[in-house]
Amino acid sequence: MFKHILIPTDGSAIAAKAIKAGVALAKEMGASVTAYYAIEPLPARLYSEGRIIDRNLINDLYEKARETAENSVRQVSDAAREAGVTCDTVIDRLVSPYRGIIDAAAEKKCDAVVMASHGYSGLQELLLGSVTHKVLTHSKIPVLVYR
Amino acid sequence: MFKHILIPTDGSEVAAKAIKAGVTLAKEMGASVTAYYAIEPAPTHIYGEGYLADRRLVAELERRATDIGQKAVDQIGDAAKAAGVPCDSVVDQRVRPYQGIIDAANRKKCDAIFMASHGHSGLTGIVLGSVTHKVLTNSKIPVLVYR
Repeated sequence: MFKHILIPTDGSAIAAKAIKAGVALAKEMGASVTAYYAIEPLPARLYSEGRIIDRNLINDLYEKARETAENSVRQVSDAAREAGVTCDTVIDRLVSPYRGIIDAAAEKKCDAVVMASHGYSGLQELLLGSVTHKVLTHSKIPVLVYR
Repeated sequence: MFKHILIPTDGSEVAAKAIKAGVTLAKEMGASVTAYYAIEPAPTHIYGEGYLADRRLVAELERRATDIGQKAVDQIGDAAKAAGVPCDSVVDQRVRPYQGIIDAANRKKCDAIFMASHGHSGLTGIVLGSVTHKVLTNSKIPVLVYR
């Protein structure tokens, strides 16, 4: 039924659950997978008002973010390889992760998104994570939500 | 991957889309389906303060609501039958439809819920329907949201 599933991740433990399920679903349907990670920009306060003049520190922080991003999408591509599912990866650097997810799904012509109900920001079990909520309200394609 | 899918409906057009997709997916996975409709009780102003002393009218309203609920689940039953997917149905009266959906999924031991992003209450296309939102925040099993 689905041909190409987008699996966004923030590398959290709960995202791992959605990854596992998304890859299993793709395998069952003979679909391919795109793994997606959005790097959020550093808070403006780090740049502005001369608080951090040290460009090296900023570059360092971004370097760390990129490592996290790569590790996160690798989690998806490793799972996909193990399952024999075709997988590519996208890492973006942008302001709104939900926007990045919607755009990546459109760009890659995905026909479904599989994601966790929340990520690192955590929550009191009863709530829906803000990124997931925004994806649900803006997505034109079906979204499978794991918790 | 899924063995038993709950498909709640309010009989609306957008629900029909989720029904079609849910039945297709169930067929593809060899899963069975439970159709669910929650009858919301008539607003209290119809009963309260003696507005409506006419019990027959109340009974008539309830009868019609049950009819509508039955038709809504029959729509799923028909689609399932056409696809050769085993299907049963539940219609019950619930003050909170989302709670009815969660309970029905538990009772029927469903492992996924397929539903539309909104129903009859409609919306602007950017917002998530209130019942869907509450199911998402309360469900312990994955929820696939269609729009």
